[in-house]
Amino acid sequence: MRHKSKLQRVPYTFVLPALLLYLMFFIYPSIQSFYYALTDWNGINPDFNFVGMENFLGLMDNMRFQAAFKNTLLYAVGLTLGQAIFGLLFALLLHGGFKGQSFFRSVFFSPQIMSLLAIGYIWAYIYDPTTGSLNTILNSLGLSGMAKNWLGDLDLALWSVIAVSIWQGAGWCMLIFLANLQSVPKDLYEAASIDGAGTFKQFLNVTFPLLGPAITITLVTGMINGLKAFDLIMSMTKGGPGYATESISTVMYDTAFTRNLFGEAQAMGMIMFIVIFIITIIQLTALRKREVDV
Amino acid sequence: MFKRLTFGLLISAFLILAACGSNGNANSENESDNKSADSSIELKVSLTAQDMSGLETLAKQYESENEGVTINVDRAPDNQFKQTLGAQLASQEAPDLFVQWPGLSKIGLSIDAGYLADLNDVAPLKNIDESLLKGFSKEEKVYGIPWSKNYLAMFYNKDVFEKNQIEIPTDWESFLAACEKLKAAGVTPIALAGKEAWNVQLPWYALAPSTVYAQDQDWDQKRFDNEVQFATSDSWKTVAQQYNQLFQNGYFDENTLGISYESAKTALGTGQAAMMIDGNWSIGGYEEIAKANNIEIGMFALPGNQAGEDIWLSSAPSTGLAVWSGGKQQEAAKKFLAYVFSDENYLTLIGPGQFSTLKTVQPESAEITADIVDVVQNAPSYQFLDIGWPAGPNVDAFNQGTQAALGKATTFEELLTVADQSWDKAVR
Repeated sequence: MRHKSKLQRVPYTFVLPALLLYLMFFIYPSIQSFYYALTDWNGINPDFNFVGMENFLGLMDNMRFQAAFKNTLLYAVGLTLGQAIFGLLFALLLHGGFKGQSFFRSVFFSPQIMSLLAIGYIWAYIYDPTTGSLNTILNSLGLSGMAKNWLGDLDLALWSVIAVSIWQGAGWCMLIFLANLQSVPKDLYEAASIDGAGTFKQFLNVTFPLLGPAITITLVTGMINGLKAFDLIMSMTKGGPGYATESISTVMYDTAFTRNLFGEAQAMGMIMFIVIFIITIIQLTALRKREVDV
Repeated sequence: MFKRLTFGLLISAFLILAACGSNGNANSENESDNKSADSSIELKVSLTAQDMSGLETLAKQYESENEGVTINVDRAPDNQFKQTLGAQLASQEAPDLFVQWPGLSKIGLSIDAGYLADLNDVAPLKNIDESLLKGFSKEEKVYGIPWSKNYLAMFYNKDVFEKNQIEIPTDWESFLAACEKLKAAGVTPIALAGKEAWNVQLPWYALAPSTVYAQDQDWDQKRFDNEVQFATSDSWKTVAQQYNQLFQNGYFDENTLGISYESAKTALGTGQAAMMIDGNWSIGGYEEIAKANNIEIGMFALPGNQAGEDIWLSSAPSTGLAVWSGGKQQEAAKKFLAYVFSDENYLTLIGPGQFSTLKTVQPESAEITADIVDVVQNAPSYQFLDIGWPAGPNVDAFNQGTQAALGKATTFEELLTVADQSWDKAVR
């Protein structure tokens, strides 16, 4: 009996080095940040004061943070739904087994392998109102009415950024959906068609319910990525014009590194952590419930 | 389960305690180490990518003249530099010399933290204009030495000005007249890079000295003392009106908020736009554009003044070199500082196209600066607005806030209220 319990301890010893590293470089700083969120630390001075909940209360009447909060939610929902819908569409189109299928799969997936920063800079050029290719193409097609000030219009800028994020993310969702589609048994379709179901009915009653796992993954990770939005916004608009495309992460970055208000920035980080945590829990419980087994 | 929870909580409590405890005794360690043998001295210098282009050359020269001295110069882009330096200072392993940005919310933080050595006894200080040292000083002590003088200017396409027979404007009315003439000729008078918040703030910086600070140089101090406010001050209202005038009269491109710095420069080069506001540190870029488009580009000071009044220049020191107060080689570091700022070496240090901070050295003026050189050397000036301000009002009102005004989501006059609120919040 004693011998057995000693053996049981062996795996823990192997875990220890990794665990220690993880504790030291992730858990410890994370816990520290809980503490710094309650101080007025400026990131430079080793002396700082404990200010209690002041940083959190200050965010309540901070216009910029509120704008960023709203934008972040919009961005996350827009990105999640957009990339899931386009991803599903691409997956259904490229599932049949026709010629050139893998070529199109690679094409749709390719934005995913580029760095978000590079994508941001490229699209910033494309969106340029006077010299950008988007407006140039629209103008030469005689559609100058549709040529917009894509990133300069206060009402449009956020949606222009969301569109790029969908363009980038749809390929990844397509891949998840494709993998899931492989696992849908063929006989279910046969049975459905014998029962007289058309293509649309088959999709609605066979494909869609069985795509549960893929939908869960794309919606949850999409939401988390959306709520953390930073790279694209930083490279395309830096949060501007005004606060039109500001996200929690960009405000947090600016608060910490430009204004040297690390305490306040940590408080924003805490709020972001809590929001992501709650939303993810809700999503997981709701989505898991509707997943069905074959 | 309960045991595990308790264990987890204990660990986190321990870690928090460790976090609080480690800050106390950091400063005392280094003082005893300050004495060290002079025989071999190793100095570390940390710089941003563009500052003081000649420093490496001078370091080599200094090494060959002083046996046993080695100087390591490190450069990094601004943000990377700031973050590395912050970590190095916190862990008491900073370089002996490094650059700092002027202003209360920049070098001021390092001064308050006790990281910087007092430089009052370093020789070249007496040759530097006091107004340039103000941004690096606290309570009569200087903690950084600026290497160059920066200023804002209107870069203008000389060919477009000539073609439309426009003289360089010297007061607000003549500036408006020039803009009107250009607009009538189908040229965008001012290429404002509205996509970049920092470019949008520059008209405020350039206009306020002639209006606000020409009347009252202590305005910032009075704002700190709560004697004045942006929103109730007539001079600030005038500045807001001036900016608004440029916007309402259509002197910026109608898509200005979507225009990046690069496309604004392109517009200036091709003659689609006639002027662009920028700092002298970008001169190199404009010379390239002029060459590429086979045009001439000149510079003048944006005149916010009324006719008959003085034009005030928006001018400020560049970054300055500071000495780490925890360094073991502070005397050697100061000696090297005096060496690079000596009259013989100074021009090598700053590189071409820069304006001198030393009263004793005047660099040759380049062709592009010919029109503005007199103003830079002789006109009264006031520093860049953010230098004397707490962090906050500048970003909230004059960067992104101004973008909102250009997008008609707010007005220029309302921005002054935003600036007040932001100021009060920052100094609370």
